[in-house]
Amino acid sequence: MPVFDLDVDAISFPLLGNSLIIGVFSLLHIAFAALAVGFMILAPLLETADRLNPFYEQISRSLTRFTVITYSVSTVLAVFMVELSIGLFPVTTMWIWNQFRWPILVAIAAFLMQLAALYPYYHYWDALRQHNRRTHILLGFSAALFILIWVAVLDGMGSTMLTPDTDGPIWGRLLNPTWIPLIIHRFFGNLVLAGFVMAAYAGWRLSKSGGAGDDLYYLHFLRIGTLIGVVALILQPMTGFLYAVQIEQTAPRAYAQLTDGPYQPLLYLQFGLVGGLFVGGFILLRSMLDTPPAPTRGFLTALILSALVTIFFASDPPVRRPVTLLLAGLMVWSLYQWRAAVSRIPTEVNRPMVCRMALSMAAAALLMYWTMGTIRETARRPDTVRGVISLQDEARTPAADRLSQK
Amino acid sequence: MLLESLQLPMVYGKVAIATIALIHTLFATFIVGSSLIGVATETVGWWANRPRYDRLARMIAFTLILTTATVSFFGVTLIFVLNIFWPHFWSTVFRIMFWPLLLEAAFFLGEAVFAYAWFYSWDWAAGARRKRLHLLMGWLAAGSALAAMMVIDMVASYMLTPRPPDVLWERLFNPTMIHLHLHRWFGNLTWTGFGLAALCAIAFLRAEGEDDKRHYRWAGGFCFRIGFGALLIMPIIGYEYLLRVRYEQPQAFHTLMLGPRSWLFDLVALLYSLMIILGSVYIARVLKDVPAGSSSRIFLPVSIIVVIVAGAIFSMPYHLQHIPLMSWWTEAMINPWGKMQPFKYFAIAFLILFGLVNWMYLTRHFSILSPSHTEGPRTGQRSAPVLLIGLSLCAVLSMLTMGWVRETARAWNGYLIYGVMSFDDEASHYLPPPDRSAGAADE
Repeated sequence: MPVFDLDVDAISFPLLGNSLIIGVFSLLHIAFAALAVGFMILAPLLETADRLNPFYEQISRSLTRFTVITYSVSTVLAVFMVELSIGLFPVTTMWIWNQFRWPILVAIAAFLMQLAALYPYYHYWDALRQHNRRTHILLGFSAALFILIWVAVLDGMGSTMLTPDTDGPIWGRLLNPTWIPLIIHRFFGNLVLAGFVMAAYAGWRLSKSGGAGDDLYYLHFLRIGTLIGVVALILQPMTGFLYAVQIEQTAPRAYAQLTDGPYQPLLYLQFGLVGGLFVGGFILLRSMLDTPPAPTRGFLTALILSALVTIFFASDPPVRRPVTLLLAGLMVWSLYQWRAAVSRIPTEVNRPMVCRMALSMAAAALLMYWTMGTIRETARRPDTVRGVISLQDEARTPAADRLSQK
Repeated sequence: MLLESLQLPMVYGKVAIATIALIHTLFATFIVGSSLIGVATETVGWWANRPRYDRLARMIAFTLILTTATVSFFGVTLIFVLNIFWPHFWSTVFRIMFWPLLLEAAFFLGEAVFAYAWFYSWDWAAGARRKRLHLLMGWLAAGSALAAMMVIDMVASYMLTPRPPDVLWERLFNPTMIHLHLHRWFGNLTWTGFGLAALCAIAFLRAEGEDDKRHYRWAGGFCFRIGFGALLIMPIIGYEYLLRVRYEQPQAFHTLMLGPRSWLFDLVALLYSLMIILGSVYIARVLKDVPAGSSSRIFLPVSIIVVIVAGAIFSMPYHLQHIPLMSWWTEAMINPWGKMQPFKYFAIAFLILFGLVNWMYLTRHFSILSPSHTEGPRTGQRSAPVLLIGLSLCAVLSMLTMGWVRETARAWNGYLIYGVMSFDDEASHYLPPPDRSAGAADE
């Protein structure tokens, strides 16, 4: 029997480096995953409202089709992410799995249940609805509930890497200071992305159709997508504030690294995108009205000014926060006006303009999602788990020994 | 220590990993087989202009979509449980096989993308030009699945016959890699063929219209032929594989053939024999209505008797010596019963030979040149589908047992990676934390 040593040198990913390659796959994965989570929440909600608007059932089905089709691709991208983490950052990966070993098993069970609910929900849509509409809707809500359990556990792991709480029992580690704020912030972030992607898809279809038979369906699609995106966007400054305050209190150095450190440009980018989304959301809503309410230009100016202040004072939270809330307030007022002016049945829109606008909004929403993810990850540097494991720990070899020597 | 103790007996980890790995393997092998069979069926249907092939291929593609989602879930779960229960082993083997495993994930991504595109563009691809593109997507899905399986076989075979990690080529093409890969190739076709045949059988039993019944009767027979044909090749490759294990890891070989886990090998032999017997009975049921002068009416009953006897001999454990009076047979100095040499070799030869002739009779019956092709087999209205379901169950058990056999060859001797990493290396991970009060008392 051959006898030899199994130690191998630490792996360095060529060209991109270890952190960047994991970042690339993580961002690719969360783009699909965020949409899937958002659509899985929205699908049963829209289906429930199908008696208010019969188009909602069709929209719900389209959202589910997207989720099912991209399901495996999203999962394989997650596999890439995990495999790269194991190979390139073995100490951190093994530690985090070890810390959350029992919650992960619950998450796996929830994921399996979600799979068992989602596939019949889509593939037996008509048959189940004919048999019992409520049962079908219940199946959709079950899938959404199970995926939220899965997301909650993963958020627990992600938040622990920034604000670890390793002293308590295993289940208590989920309750680290930024867990709940992160769950809430991501929940509405998923809806922002999902809503604007829906609007973008509908806008694109409208620009392509040129007056074909499905136009009314896509007009409804555009309207509901924009509404979902805007409403969730209005809530995001509040949930973001909650999350940021928790980070500031629990990990002040990490927070300072964002506001004053080398990753400050990311913060400016993020608030640039936030401001852009508010202004764009306003324009998109107005473009769906035949006769927009009177003070449109003044309102737009106020919004743009607020957005600019938010961007310029991105690294100065005491100034930026109230202005961001003002931005949200203006948007609420705008939505209220829109609601009063909008017709029950969507009318024709300026198709090329709406298409461009909606596509830009979806791109901005995705970019914002990615920027926020990147900000959260970079805040920990040079640690991989803040105060527990550093990048230097990862650079030592061999991996198996490091796990037990640490 | 950085990693916290699990405070569990190690058997929990073993059971969790074995359970997830076996379920994952079952679906993963089905993906490889169904993508290949599905696109080949569609290609034949397009080439021969036979819509029933297209209908069957679409059904296979649907099962592929469902299993792809399932396997991706169980794949993630397997990685999770390996991380949790065997972190040292997993981080080590992962770093040794880092690039191959990334490549495997890339191939699986390709399989998922092409398989979904293949299935969901079926209606779109009605025209001749689009159909070619559609077939290309199917073949790309099948090619990606096969490539992914090859990489996984490299990792799996490395655990039994490892080589120093500094030479990539030796790591990948370790001594048992090719044999394992070939064995799994045909194993996948066997299990998927029988699995799809069982699905067709269930559809047949549930079908109400005569058209549906006719279609599923034909489809079941078609898938059966693929499974049964691949089954006949399995022992030849299996023999080569075991021979290689014998030369490379004699201790592992002994564990399986005459040692404490030989009963598992006997179980595989029993399941194999059962599949040949059930398959032959199915063929006899299907060919019951052939004209009176046909040689199959004489040959098939004789063949069934032969394969039953051969199957009994092939699956005979040498533990029979414990039965009173049987020791006279099993403890003979020369050629005892229950050992491979020579009776089991004869038995497997008979199983393959008679199985092959039976398969040829069925294939001739199904042949495109045969007038009965358009109607498909008529007899065995209920018993034939039930036999197909039984065969599928045997195939599932056989796949699970064979997976267990390969892993236990290492595990029984205490190794996670044969000769270089043992269960003891993970033992510290399972121990309870030191008793602090006892430590304080000592001080």
